[in-house]
Amino acid sequence: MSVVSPALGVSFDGRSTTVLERLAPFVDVVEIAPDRFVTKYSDAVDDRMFAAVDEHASHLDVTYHGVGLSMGTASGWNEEYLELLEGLCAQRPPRRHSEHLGFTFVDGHFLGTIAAVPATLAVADLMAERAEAIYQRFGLDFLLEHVASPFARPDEMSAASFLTYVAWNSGCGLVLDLHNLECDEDNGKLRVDEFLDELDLTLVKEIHVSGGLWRDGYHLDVHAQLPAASTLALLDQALPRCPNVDLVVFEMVGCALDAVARDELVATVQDLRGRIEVSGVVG
Amino acid sequence: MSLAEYQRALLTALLPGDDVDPDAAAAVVRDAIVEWAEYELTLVCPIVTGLLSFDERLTSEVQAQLRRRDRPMSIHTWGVQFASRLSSDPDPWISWAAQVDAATLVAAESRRHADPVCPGDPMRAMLLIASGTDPRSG
Repeated sequence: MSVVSPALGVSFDGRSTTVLERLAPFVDVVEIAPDRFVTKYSDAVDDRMFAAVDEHASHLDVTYHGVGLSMGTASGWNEEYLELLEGLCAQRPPRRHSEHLGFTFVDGHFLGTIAAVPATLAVADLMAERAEAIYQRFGLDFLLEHVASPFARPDEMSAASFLTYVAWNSGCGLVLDLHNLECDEDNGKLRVDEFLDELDLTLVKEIHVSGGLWRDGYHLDVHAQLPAASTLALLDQALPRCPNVDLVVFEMVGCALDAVARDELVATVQDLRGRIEVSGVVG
Repeated sequence: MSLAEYQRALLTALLPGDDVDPDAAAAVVRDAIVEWAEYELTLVCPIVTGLLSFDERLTSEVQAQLRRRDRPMSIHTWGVQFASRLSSDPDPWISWAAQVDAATLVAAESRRHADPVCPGDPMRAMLLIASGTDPRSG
């Protein structure tokens, strides 16, 4: 078996093109948030966003990772988001795309946050059915991500069992977002070590790394900070256990990026590169 | 509890001002949603949000907009809704600012779809046309 390090990616939501320009030489993939690529749904893609990617990162692969699909909304997913995604895929074919096992819309109202669906068998079957349909529709690798959510839920099974069940029954892979797990642990929703022991880690194809903030005793997953030391340590622990990971993505929202010194961002990316080269396992 | 029932209960807990006592987590996120919404609306409706902020009305107006339960995902579209509602505000300054912000967002959206090769400055042309002058005559 040859040892190949996973690729390294950085998120881009269209807001900080100077950061994209600065980081592009140090990464392999740009993770694009489709939700930010339009000013209005049901319309054409905003070419200005792609112009920034083309100008600063034309040599890099892209992935699409959104929150707007709302695949967990009981009344149905957001079809306009999928139409937007089809337009993006036609314009710039991605390495893969991914979404969250949660919901951002209820009765047509955008919540302003994303919430996890309850981990019940009925919801797991619904999520697997929808994920498989999206996988078939796009013919692309489609990954599912666990959502950090501090709200009380009528769960019937653990988060790891739920994710494994949905992935196995849909043919989709998983994104392991380490900061999400830390938020859920800090908010009393799970134990990270137990989660990793229970999850089928062969399903994990991407790992996401980010930082959040604390508010009134709750750890919120808002990607507003650089990754904490604890998150990086968790990357060191988790990556060698996930044999099929081929991409690690550093995520941070554009409005927060502007508050961080560019050299510090570069150092963060270089630190991540060093960590995944040490732990590289794809063969 | 069905998935739909759970989601409606959470929506209610996350909306400001409803007569529901949310759990602690929902209360924290509910306040954060209002703050983030204020920030985003300030980006797309800078004039009316600026005036509302001077009057210490911004937070209450954002909360009122959220309580309408019709927020779209696009901040631009929501900005148009927010500014359009405030265009009938009894304060003439707020009304004026809201009309300008709404019109600016609508114009920006329409210009995005127009042929980008314009023979003159589109904004100047709009102002001239609105004032009764043919921009092609200059």
